[in-house]
Amino acid sequence: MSEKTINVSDAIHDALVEEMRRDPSVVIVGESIQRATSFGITRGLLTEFGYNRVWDTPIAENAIAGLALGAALTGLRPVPIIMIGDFIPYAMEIICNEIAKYRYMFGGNFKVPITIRVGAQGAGAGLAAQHSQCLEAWFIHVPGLKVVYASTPYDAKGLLKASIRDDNPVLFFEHKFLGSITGTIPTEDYTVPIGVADVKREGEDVTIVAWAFMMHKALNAATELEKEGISVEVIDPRTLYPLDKETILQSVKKTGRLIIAEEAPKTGGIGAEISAMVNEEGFDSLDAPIMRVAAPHTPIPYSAALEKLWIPNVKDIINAAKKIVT
Amino acid sequence: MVQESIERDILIKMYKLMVTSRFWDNNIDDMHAKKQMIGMSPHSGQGQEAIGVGGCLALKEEDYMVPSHRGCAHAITKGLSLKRLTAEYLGKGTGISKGKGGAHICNPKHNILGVSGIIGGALLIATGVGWSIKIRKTKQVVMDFFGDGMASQSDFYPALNISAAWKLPVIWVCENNRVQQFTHFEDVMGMENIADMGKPFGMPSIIVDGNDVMAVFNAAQKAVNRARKGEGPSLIECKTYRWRPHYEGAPETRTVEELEEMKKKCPIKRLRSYLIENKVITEKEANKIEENIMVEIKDAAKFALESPWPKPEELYEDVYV
Repeated sequence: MSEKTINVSDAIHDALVEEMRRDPSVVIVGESIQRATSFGITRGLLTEFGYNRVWDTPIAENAIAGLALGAALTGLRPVPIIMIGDFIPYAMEIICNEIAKYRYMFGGNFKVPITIRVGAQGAGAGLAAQHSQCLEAWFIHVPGLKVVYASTPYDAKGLLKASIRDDNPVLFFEHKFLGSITGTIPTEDYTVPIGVADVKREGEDVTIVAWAFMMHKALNAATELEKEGISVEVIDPRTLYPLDKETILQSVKKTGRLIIAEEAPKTGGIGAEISAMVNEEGFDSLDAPIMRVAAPHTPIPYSAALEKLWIPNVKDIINAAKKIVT
Repeated sequence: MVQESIERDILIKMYKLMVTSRFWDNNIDDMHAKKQMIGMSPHSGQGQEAIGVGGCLALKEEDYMVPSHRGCAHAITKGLSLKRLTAEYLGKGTGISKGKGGAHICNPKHNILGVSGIIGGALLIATGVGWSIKIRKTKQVVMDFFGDGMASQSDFYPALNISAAWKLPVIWVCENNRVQQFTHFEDVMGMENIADMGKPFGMPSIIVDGNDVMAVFNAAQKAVNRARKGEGPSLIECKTYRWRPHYEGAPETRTVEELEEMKKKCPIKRLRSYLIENKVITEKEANKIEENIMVEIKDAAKFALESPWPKPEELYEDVYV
């Protein structure tokens, strides 16, 4: 099997192109994807697939989601694009009350094959409180949705393909600092199954669960901690709902210690959910309290001087690990 | 009454469907009062039957329809059976949504999309259905029924805008009953006619008497033909009245006098008189139609009452494919 090196942004682009070639019912719709290219990801799509499959909408995220639902119910497999993650609240009614509930409330009469690409999440670019948030935690609370967040080119391409082929609504989150991260992927067609975590680094003393950009910070922390004799296992859940509980529980069984690192306020976060799950289902494995590395309960500040204080960083993860590995 | 001629069969169908809708509404209210139906109080469509019936009779089998949340006129006209409708309201496993939706009915076999419990989003779903028809290049259309309440949501603007910008085959049918839950139209709306909202988008936007089923049907046919030819959306505002409170058992905010005035304009009585005066049917035949419908409704109620509840394991089914 041959491989190639690629960054996350290009991996997402390639996944879109390949799925659109594979299945004529795949259409993409969003803001500024015809004349502009949504951070490069939709480049070339209009030329190859034409106006009937690549649609620019007015600025109306609720409409983007509504168009996708109407289309999904009538034989298409839409990929609506929310240009920047922070814009998604405008579409919450459609996503959480309509898309998420359509199959269940109507007794399994409908399928809702939608992949919502939620672009450009994340703090650190000086974009202030409304262009920097990671909002994935909001959606794991809504039955009917699947929530996917890849950290590497391999996972991004494989998971986006799996999401588009899935007959359920999937939110596919993207982080603005992941786009340029490179890795190798097969040149052949492949998918990464939804709901399966990946052990990104094996270790013995402490398990760190982290996804998206935080996963890379967790790997950096692991490298530093190794120098101090602490062996870290890094698990990337890759799918936040349905969560691969088993991989996390198995790891905690081995290490006895768990840290969850996320780039969002701690309160009500995904870290809280994973922590509670391990308490309920893996308490006997724990040798120390579960730690969460997360952001403070404030909006994200603009000033570079303040923003860097807000973002959970490698040092925070190292400190948390040192606190529970004694 | 000046009407473009409507075939006899369609006139009789209109009468049957409107009577069915009215009687079914009455019967489900009765079942709810007797606690034979446990769950969300019915949101009656009494007084508004002409709109769902007149609108949906202008559609073909393959066309899509997004119902409003009031009554059953739209769904039964488009092909939902009384048995599966009634069973759904009762939360039974034989309901069209296996008892998971209640008043949130649907029927994919007849391209009836779901009734949303949220006022607003359905406008955008209908836009999406129109968009999909355009992409798939079929000759279908989609008809969306909504109240004046939904026309006040922010979703109304992008729905009208996008359907016009892309010339989507959507027929927007507003049932303006001048009351939103318990709030009166004139207290909260900055316009008199919802139809005016379609004009800036260049779509035909007309006002019809929503209690005149033939007028609704004729307007709907024109809009459907236009949409099917690829000429884009239309907006039909049907002026009508809601006879019942927001839901059964809820307080009534209109005066007794107002309600009596509304009932004088009953769309069913009006059609009945027309049919008899124009010798389409005799009074005796009309009575017979009503008797037969009552039997059907009682049969449907019996079917629903005798149907089993969903099984416990069904709680977890159909969340995901």
